Amino acid sequence: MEMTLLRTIVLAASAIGAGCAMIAGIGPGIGQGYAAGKAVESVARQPEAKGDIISTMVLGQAVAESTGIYSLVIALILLYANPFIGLIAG
Amino acid sequence: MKSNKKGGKQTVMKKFGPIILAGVIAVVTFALKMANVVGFQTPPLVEGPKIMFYVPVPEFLHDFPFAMEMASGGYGLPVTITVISTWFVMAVLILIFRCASSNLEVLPSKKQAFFETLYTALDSLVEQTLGAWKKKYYTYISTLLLFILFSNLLSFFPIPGFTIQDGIFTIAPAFRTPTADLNTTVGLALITTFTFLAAAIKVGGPTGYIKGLFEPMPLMFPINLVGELAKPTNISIRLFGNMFAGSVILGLLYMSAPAVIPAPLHLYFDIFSGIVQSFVFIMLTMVYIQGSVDGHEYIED
Repeated sequence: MEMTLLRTIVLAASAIGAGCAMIAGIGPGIGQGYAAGKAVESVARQPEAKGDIISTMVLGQAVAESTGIYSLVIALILLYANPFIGLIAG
Repeated sequence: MKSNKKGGKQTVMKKFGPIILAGVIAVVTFALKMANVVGFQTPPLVEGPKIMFYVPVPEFLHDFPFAMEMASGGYGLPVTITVISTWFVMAVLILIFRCASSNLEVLPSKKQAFFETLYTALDSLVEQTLGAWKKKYYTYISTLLLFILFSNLLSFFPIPGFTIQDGIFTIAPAFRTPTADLNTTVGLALITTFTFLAAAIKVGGPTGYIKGLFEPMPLMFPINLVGELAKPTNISIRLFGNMFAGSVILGLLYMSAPAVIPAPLHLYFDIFSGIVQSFVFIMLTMVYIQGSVDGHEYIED
């Protein structure tokens, strides 16, 4: 196959792949929203512990965010630092 | 009446002084840019760390793992902008804390009281998770926190670097966030991995550690092994992803709306995200160390 056709296929597939990778943004959204709801409930139960509850919630949400960040890194690599373009030239 | 008028002019100067100064600087640099005397260079949106110079390596070390071929034919070890930014962060940290711990007195001055508050806050944080083991690990964890915090905040401060390109005096950002490079974060995660592995081997002996991998059932060995390998991967890629993606999103925003809109996003991505991610890194470090020394008595060295 000639080079432009190969390049077109690789770039098109990378764009579709980057879009599909960001479907993984659903997970942290649901999970972190649920955790925030539980934090609001516990502040309602015990308003004196608000500072502790908020810092625990922020810590837990930063850990839960990590799978969303992994998919964002894959999407950014596919869009801007595509490794497959270098492979097809050789 | 005379003093009132002078007082009025002085308060106007004090209130609007910085804005007037910033406006004058902006107009002057814009005029210089139009006259092609000063150029501003924006780094490309996504680029790996640029290699700044090579440390030349003598003939017999040419097969050394990291040696790359230089332009002038010899071999050398590449030194990238990440390493130079790390040196800058180290220099800043050493300066600040050398100044903080000089002239300590029993009745603390304001500066000393601030650093004492910082120390005791970190002390109670480490004690909350590690308990008696904080004597051994406190220095490592507090240094880790301060290093990652200052590295993450580095891209918030516009530090200009001056070069001359094609005869035009160019101003470009001098440093790049060290933690936006996978090398730095994997290095820090590897240090953490060695720390908790060493703690586990110290309390149980090497056979005790390997036996712990077989713990609930012998069939769980692959799962436990992958879980142990997932720990450094987890923390390193989380820190890298947050910092790198933040810089890319801000770069895209600067391309489209350079004037006023990026400012609050800088507050979120650089300051909030930087503080939270450094905090998460050390909390996970402490949780891993606690998982290794779980329940054992503190062994005095």
